Amino acid sequence: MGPAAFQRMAPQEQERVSLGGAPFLFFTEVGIVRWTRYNADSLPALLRGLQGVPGSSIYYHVHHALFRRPKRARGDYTNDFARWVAGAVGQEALAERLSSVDPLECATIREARERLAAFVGQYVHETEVFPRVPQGSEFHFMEARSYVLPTGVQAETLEQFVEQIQKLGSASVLYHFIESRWRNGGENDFSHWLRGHGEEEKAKALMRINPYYYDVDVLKEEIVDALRR
Amino acid sequence: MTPSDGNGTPTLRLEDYVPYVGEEVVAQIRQLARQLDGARVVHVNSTKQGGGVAELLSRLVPLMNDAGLNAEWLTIDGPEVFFEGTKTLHNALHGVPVGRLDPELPQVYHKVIVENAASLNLNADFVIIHDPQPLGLVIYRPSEHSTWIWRCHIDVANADMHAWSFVKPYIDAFDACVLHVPQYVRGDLLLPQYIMPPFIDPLSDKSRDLSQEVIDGVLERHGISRERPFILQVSRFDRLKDPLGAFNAYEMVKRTIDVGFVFVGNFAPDDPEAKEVLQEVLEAAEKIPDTIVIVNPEDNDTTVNALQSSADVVIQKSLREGFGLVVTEAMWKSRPVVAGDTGGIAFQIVDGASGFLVQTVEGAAFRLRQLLSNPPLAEAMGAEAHQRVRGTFLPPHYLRNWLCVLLAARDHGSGITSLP
Repeated sequence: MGPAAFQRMAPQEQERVSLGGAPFLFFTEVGIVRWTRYNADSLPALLRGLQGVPGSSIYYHVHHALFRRPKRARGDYTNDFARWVAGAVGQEALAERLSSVDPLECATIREARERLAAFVGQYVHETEVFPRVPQGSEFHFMEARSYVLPTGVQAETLEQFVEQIQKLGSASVLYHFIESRWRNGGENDFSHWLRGHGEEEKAKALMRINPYYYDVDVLKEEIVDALRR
Repeated sequence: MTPSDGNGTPTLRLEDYVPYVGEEVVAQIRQLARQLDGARVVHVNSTKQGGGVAELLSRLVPLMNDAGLNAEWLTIDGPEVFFEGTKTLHNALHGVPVGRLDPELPQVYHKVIVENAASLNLNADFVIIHDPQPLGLVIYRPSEHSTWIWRCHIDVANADMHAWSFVKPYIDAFDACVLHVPQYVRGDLLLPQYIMPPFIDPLSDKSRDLSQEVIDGVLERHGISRERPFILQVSRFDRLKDPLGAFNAYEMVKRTIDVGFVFVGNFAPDDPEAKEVLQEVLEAAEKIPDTIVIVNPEDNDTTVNALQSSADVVIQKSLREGFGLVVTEAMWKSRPVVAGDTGGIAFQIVDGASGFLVQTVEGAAFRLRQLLSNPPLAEAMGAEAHQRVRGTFLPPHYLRNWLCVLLAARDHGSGITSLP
């Protein structure tokens, strides 16, 4: 079904496109940020932090970082480590490499950690002098203590599903489209549900969207466009 | 005007904020609060009158109650000598050089703490102590089953060593502490350190929408012409706010752009440094045309609101700053802000997106010129700034953060928890 055909359907016809089975239950996530006790004031210290912090901190700085990117900074680096290396340390080449670590290519947080640490490690190995950043510009390794909450919203039909995604808050997007990959063996919740309801193509289309290259509003538009195609 | 219960505490409901934060945030708050099952939460600070902490608590406590908790706000009582001593302590913790602490302070402090521990009802599920003045109460916690949290509203990262040595044993007795921004964390504290920025209230006189008539009235009263754009700085007469730096930046801009400068500040006559700085500011203002200095304006909140709502660019050229709520206020009014890259300001402004962060007077002048010369950029930056505040720095966000801290501190856990 093409997007035009989908949009042309009358509301009563849309209601009939029921996917059957269990409805999709939307959840959201809220949390509070906590310091891990690791700081970095130089690249060797960043390396020590990358190697030693809990996985939740890597997750926070790589994945949560997406939601702290302002709209006007779309050209910005994708994770907090790269942003700090460029902004505070002034090593843009290393920042580019850190930003190139695509979380979707990493099956585990550990893999993301190893790739990030490898880039910083290589730079540290090849460099002799490591200036410290000024006081107040240190990198603080944080983690989020999160709570998952039901939103009370559900979708039974594809149209309801699309409609709810359009209204979704950023925390719900984080929970269903990003964090879920660690619960579902690499698959996001939306694709998981669509696949379970025979919508294989749409499920695949959503899996092709890389969330790390958008801000949340544009990401939602991309998801909705893919579902309407 | 915010409605009040007759004792000066506003009567606020979470639903009042739905137009600003949406229904989802309020629903999240109610779900989180249910997990705390009507817990008694006691906040303790040093005063209900004036100051940023009192302003925050006057909103937070009624909203906690509206969410279903049993929240109460208590204040400690003490003689003038206690508050003089703890004011010095407060400044020293903020990193201001104050010399040696008064040798009498420990004795005075302990006496006042013992008296307050006996008179205040601190039997609660959660006791939240704000700032250093009531810290010592933790020694007299009446129940081991309660959770005690220190809410620090100042930047203690570079605290004076003597002052820090005085307060640290008390802080170590807490279960957790809460700081404004990651830059404030301290490695010598072993307790969990949570990060929670403060908020501004869109329902307050400082931040509510004003009619054009009110704005025009304020501008007219202070002789501010709309024939040319104007730059605004709102700050105390304090060298750390770098008022002369702001004047110097304005002077550089004025060489090529027909613009005015308005400086608004409150002045306490008993503050010798402020007196000196005010004199310097007045002298600087005399040398540069189209400059207006407003000292202790009548109806301060509405005046500042009107000026922030109508300024073309806002500057906050601070050299050191706690959080800088005045920056948040200007951002809320969709103003482009040029601000010193320090303290909590760097947490609020995403440089180049929701404002500009600067290190120098020259940098400030450059960014001011850029914004004044490029109105679409100024407008886009103002819009982004407003969204940043709308999504992060309003009372419901603060309450939601608090509920997460209370749950986390109660459960001593980490990671992700699913709630029904």
